[in-house]
Amino acid sequence: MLKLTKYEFIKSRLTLIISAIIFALFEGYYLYSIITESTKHTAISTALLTFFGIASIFIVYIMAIVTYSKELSSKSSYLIFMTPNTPLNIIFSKMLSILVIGIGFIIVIATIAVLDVHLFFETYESTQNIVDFFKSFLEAMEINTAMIIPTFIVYCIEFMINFFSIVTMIYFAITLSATVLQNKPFKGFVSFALVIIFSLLMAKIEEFIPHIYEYPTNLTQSVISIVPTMAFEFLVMLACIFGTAKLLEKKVSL
Amino acid sequence: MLKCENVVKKYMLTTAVDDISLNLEPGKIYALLGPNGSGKTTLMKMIAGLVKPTSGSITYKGQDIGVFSKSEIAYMPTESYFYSYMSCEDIGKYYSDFFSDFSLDKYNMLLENMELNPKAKASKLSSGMMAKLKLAANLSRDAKLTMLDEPLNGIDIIARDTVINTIIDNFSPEKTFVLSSHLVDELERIIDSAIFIKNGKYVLSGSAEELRQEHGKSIVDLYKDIYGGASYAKVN
Repeated sequence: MLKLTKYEFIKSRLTLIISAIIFALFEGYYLYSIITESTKHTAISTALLTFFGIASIFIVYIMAIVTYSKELSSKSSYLIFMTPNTPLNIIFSKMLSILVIGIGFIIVIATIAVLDVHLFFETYESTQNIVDFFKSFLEAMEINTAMIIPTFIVYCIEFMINFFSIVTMIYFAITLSATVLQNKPFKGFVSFALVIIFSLLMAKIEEFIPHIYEYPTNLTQSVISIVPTMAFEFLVMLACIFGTAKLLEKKVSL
Repeated sequence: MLKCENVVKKYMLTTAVDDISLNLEPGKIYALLGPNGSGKTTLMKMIAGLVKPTSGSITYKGQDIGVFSKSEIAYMPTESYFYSYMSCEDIGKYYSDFFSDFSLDKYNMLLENMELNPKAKASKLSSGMMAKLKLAANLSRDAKLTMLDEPLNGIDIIARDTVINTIIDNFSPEKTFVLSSHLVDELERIIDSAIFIKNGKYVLSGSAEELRQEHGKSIVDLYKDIYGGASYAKVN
């Protein structure tokens, strides 16, 4: 599986290089604005970096979906499906590469964001009172600062499970389109409609999942309250992975 | 070694392969013959595990097509199937990573013999060079069953001998080769057995020598007769 993952990285390298260049340009602009102490440029570059941070989530989403969709619709799919690998291995290798790329994005962006914020407060000392205000706000809300990092990690895990439940659902729909629906008219439309229906269904079911704390009053309760939803999304993800693997094993026609 | 039993593959209103049964034995070079659209490629793809039959069964050494069969069966498709970023060198590394029977030394030697630059991008190669590259990649495997779909497509008349000699050089008694081609006269001298299919249906098969004796014709003439309209009783 690791060898398959290696080739997933190789296939994604152009997107990653372009993303890295764009991020480096924005970051360079930000550093220039800090050095020159230009508030106007700091504001623009901060907006660009924030935009990139949000866009990076979509970049990873698109990479995950496009690489899989291409795999089933181009002749290069022979290269993967002729190798002695199970469909499950093929799907896991794609998920692993996306997971590593996603974590890589988070680590790089979060680290640089922390450094940038630090630089910002050092350059514009007058804004230091925002930090003091934020600390007072946390105290007033009785939020233990020691809990922030573990909470952040839990929310990252929840985000990843949610992310992969959607990605695997799309994998399942794409595979349906390329297998069972292959000979049917409007297969693309049908698989798109299926993704929408599955998503709506999932959202509807999530509404009925009982909340451990109806109104969480602290971070710990907030974290605990999302566990049932996480469990449900995890189950959806597993069902989609095994469903996709079964379809590839029994029905694939490349 | 490889058994196909009543294999059928349907696409919408078309039946690409219609109730074909085969039994391939080791130590033989088979020619899978038929005009365009006769079902040769679909049959090979089903054996390679790229297409699933609508009905019937395909087993390799008693097992269903899957991880084990893919580790022992090499399939060379007619199309270019390499990733656009790949150079000839990258393709060697890829095969080496996934197939334990692949020899990188042999691959490099075949590239040299076929005058292919290891640094050349596969996507930039001419159709003839691409055919040679696909052949080099697949023949560098020590696969028990090698299926070459139209190995002479795009190859000029001068280079055909080189390709055919490369195929012969890489054959050994414990292996099985299946070659599909329209260029029957080029294959006639190297094949042990021939399988004729038409419109997805089995027409005729047998050892090349027996077919020649029984019908008093060369394989080329039989091909012309079959696809020119004559009908034959099944010969196994």
